[in-house]
Amino acid sequence: MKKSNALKIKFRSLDQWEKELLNLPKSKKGYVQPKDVVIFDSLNSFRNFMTLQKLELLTIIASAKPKSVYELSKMLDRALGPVQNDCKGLEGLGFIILEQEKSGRKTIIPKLKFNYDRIIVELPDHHYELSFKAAA
Amino acid sequence: MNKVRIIEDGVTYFADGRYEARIKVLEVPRSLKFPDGFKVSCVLLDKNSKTVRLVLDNHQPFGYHIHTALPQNKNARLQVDVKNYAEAIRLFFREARKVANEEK
Repeated sequence: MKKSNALKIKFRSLDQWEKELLNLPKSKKGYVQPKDVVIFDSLNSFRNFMTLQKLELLTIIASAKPKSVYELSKMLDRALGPVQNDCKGLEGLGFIILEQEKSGRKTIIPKLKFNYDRIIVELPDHHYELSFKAAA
Repeated sequence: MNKVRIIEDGVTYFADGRYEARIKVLEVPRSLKFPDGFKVSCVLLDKNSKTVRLVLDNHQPFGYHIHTALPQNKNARLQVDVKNYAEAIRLFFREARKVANEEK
């Protein structure tokens, strides 16, 4: 059976992280962030970063495996510049790698950071409160 | 044998993914180099400009210090008067928030 790999998105605010860090030495176990985990400070931060275009771009990289950023932009039917920017953004936060061909034209090939087939967003505990009075 | 234990080695992205806070804390044997028994490295990166904005660490001969003039001046260090690693981390978070807020 094919193994299913997931990239996990988790959340912790800077305040929460600070508190955790200040309490760490008391606990025996340290924390080393796994390579398949990306942590944002809030759901809003993640939503503002991960635009629909970036998600689409990730999907194409995973499924069609483009041989260059140019090919990727053609597949997405988007201009090269913004696709390059999105690629750089995704690379910066560890979603993809931009690998340069060792020979030939030294083309930049966009690849997933590892072979993940899903992104799991582990939503933070939130108490949602909808005020009908405010909405009215 | 002198044991080194990883207390924390993690990264959090904030301000819509613009900033990366990277913190590494190691518990090391107490020595002249690390009198409180901790080796700390806190780094704030601006992902837009791909520059390091803030570094707080502790090593000889400076003890706990912060690099506040990054990325222009890598050698500008400000020694900070903190008693332990917890205070250093608190200071790093405070400064990191300041950088992010100032550039909103």
